[in-house]
Amino acid sequence: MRNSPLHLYVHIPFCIHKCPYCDFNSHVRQSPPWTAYQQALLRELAHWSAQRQYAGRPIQTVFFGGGTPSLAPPSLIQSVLETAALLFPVKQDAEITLEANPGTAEAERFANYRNAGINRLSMGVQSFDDKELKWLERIHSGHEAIAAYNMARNAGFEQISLDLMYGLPDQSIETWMHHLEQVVSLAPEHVSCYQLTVEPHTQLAIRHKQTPFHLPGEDLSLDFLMQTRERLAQAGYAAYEISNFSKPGMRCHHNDGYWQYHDYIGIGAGAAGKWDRPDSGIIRYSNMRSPEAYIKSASEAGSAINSREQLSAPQAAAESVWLGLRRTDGISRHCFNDRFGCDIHELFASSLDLWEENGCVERTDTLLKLTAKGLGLADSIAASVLQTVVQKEEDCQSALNFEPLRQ
Amino acid sequence: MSNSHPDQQHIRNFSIIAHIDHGKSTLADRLIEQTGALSEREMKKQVLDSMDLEQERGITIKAQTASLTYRACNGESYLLNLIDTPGHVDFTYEVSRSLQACEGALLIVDATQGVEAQTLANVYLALENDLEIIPVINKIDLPSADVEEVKRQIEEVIGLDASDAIAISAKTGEGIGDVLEAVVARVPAPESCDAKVLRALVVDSWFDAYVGAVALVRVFEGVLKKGDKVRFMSTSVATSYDVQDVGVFTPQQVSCKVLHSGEVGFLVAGIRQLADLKVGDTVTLERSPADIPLPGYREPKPMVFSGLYPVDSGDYAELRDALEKLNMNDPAFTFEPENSSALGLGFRCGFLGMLHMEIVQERLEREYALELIITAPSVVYRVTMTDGMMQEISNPSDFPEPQRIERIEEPTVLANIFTPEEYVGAMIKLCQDRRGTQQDMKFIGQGRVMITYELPLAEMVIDFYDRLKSVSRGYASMDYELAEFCTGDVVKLDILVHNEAVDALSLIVHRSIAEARGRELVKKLRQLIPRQQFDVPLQAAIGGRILARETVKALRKNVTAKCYGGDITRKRKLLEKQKAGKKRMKSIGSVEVPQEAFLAVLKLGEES
Repeated sequence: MRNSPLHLYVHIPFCIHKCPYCDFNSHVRQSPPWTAYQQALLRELAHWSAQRQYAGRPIQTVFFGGGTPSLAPPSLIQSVLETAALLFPVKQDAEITLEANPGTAEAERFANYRNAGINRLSMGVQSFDDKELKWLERIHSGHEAIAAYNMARNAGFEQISLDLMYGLPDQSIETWMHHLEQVVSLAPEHVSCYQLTVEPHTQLAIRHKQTPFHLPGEDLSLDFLMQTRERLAQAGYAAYEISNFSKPGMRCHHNDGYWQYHDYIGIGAGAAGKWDRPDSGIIRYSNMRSPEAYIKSASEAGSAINSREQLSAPQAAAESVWLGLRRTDGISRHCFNDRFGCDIHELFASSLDLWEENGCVERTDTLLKLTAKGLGLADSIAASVLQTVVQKEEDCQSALNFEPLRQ
Repeated sequence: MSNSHPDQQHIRNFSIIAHIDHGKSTLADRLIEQTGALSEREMKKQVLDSMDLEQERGITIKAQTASLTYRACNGESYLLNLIDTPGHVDFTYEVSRSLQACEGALLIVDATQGVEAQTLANVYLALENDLEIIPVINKIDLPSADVEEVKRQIEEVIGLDASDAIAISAKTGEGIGDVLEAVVARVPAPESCDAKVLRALVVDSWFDAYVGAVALVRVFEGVLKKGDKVRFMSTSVATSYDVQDVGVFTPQQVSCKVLHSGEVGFLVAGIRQLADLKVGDTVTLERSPADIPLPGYREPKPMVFSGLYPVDSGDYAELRDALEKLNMNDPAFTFEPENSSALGLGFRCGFLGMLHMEIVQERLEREYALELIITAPSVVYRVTMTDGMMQEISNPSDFPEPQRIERIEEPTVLANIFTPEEYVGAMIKLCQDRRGTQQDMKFIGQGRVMITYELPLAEMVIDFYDRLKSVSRGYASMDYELAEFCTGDVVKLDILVHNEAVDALSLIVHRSIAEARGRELVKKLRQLIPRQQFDVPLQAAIGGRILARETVKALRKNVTAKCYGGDITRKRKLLEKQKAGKKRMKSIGSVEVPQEAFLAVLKLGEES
């Protein structure tokens, strides 16, 4: 949103091995060009700090994602953070997350990352079962994951998040619940549970096409989702998004920013950013995906934008509803009105009324949110909201403007 | 030839009749080739089937003709008019008009297949027209040819003398000379009646973009000249036309001054619409008209109806234009605007039969690049109301309330099915399932059986022919003729989607099978309608009585697991694709129904 909090995302694209399900921008390199990459990141950061849409705005959170950021030398992390603090006002006690592979090799660096300024670790555990981990082609074992978690605690991390994956081929709910028990006993501050998704163009998609895996159907998937929520709630983890759970006050503010339609700067190969300013409207950009191309462009020109799109006001409004509804808190009708100059429900009545009638969407004076039933259907609801935009694009255009905003 | 008219004694008018694939077109090509009417360069394979569809399907849709000059063994030169006939049951009327224009016919029977359903149907038509029939046994070059057995079948099944049957191979050319000689020797010459008032039969008609409607005519009496003023006897309002051109086909169109009695040729008279030029009509002179027309004229009457809707409702105007244009070439189909609450604006179209329907639909899609939704075909019912009034109803939407109906009659057909013995059981079961009554069953030799059934036409229009082919592994053949209207206990079966009756899905069916059909149909629909936000009940009902019910369970889970800053644009595009898929759906109330659902009724009975 305009004048919304600003976040910084740093992409580290290198991996030792590419996991077959991964559709993020990751590249296997024997010895990644860390020095050049670090220089490119710093150069890009300097570039954005001079741009009107970002200049001088306080950064709320920083997130190092990948790829495998825990391969990066702690000095690189430290240098990015120090530079960011020089170029932008970075909030005191800002949440600064690093995604880490829970292997022993990485765990040895945890203390150094802590010293470099990282205060939150997000560990890609995925499973505690070695057979499942092998199928996922993860390079760590279940025991290593637990050991790495303990090492992170010993290194002084007070905020740890564990990522897990359910709905693997032939995985039973019981097996999954067993993994959840393990999570609960470790007592991290935050948990993300994702259903395995066969994304197009991944190795997994190719394998799935050749010999289809037995993946859970709609009903079983919903059971996974609901039982996960129930068990984690009992253990004191409240769901705040479809796949994300936290102890009170421990949600990931960085990710929450995406769903609340905040602005963010993305630096690094394939990173994406967004801004919303009166002079330009809402812009999304993404960087070149190849690390080498990125390094070259960012080092020479300061930026490495590969694509950029400007959203129309109705498009942006629909997008903010789609993202906002993923949050358990839903969307503040007041905030929406402030940004888009009209009532959210009025604008999307043709789509939302039916969902509301069917008990998927709930409306109060202040909020619009999904019900427990609507949660599992978030994409269908989003698709229908986006559909109304096409139909109404023209009528909306007059009702919704970029200009009449209260600065 | 165009300038020197031979006398009637040196003219022979004949056609070729055959079951599909028995070699009619190949023989026609050979005759044209052997008489030198076309140079080899001009010979395209199967010259007479000129429409793409005809060549692809191996059938003749429009009758065509060729005038061949042949010097016979007796040293004299003859003009042989070959009048090609359409080869399918839907066009029986056109076939009979073509045959009426002839004095003789070559009956081709495949030496490896024997007598088939259409062979018989065509022979009956030829006999009705008093034609001299010359049996020709084709494909004798094939190793499995059995000429003697086929002769026996011709005598026993058809009842024709086969002792003079000519054995040929149209493929190799063997026996073609004998065929030409037999045409000269055995087909009677047309009578000479030049002195009488003009009576010419319209054998066929087509539309030419430059000259308008063109007629293929057979002059029976009198002469037809360029400059004559003529009129058509079936039209009560006497519109007269100036004859602008007459001529013959060699098979190219060649003008001449006069068509004499006994001759076959074309007529151009500035007729703007094909609808004004009806096959079977009689041409006479304006100034001295004949008293009575030639026998046999009939208005083309559509027997099978279905709704045609554009997939994209924005294409309605284009569909209308396409139908209008196509109708100029084929006035035998009818169309009128129809408004379906489910499918929007479209047209109710009437066809001569199933093949005719397929041809029209295919031409619309192919020649006019239209995407169509076609509703289940239906037939015409004669409904007598309690007040004594009679209505003809072909659209389920027009079906009256049951309590107002006194009696319903439905059209029936008499079908001859030829099948190998081992499929007789399956064939009888098929016919019985379709409410047929057996009329006759004959063993005709070579392990084959001819079964005659009376069947309701309504049972034939839905995939009967496909089923017949599939249960006999392609070996059975069938032909049918329309019989009479019979009382039938038929009811309107409504299909309710989410408690709303959907007009485009309703059917008229016999009461005895209504429940089974209804159950099967809702089951099929359940598989075709995607899961929605809510449970969607599907019901089959007669009047208010529910016969069958299925439920499309509500969609329960559709959510992306991961959605972070870098994914947003791509994920949004995926969601937009989800919604684009919905464009191909038709909304019925709040339920999205895919196009295939409207065709589900055609697929009924597939797994039974």
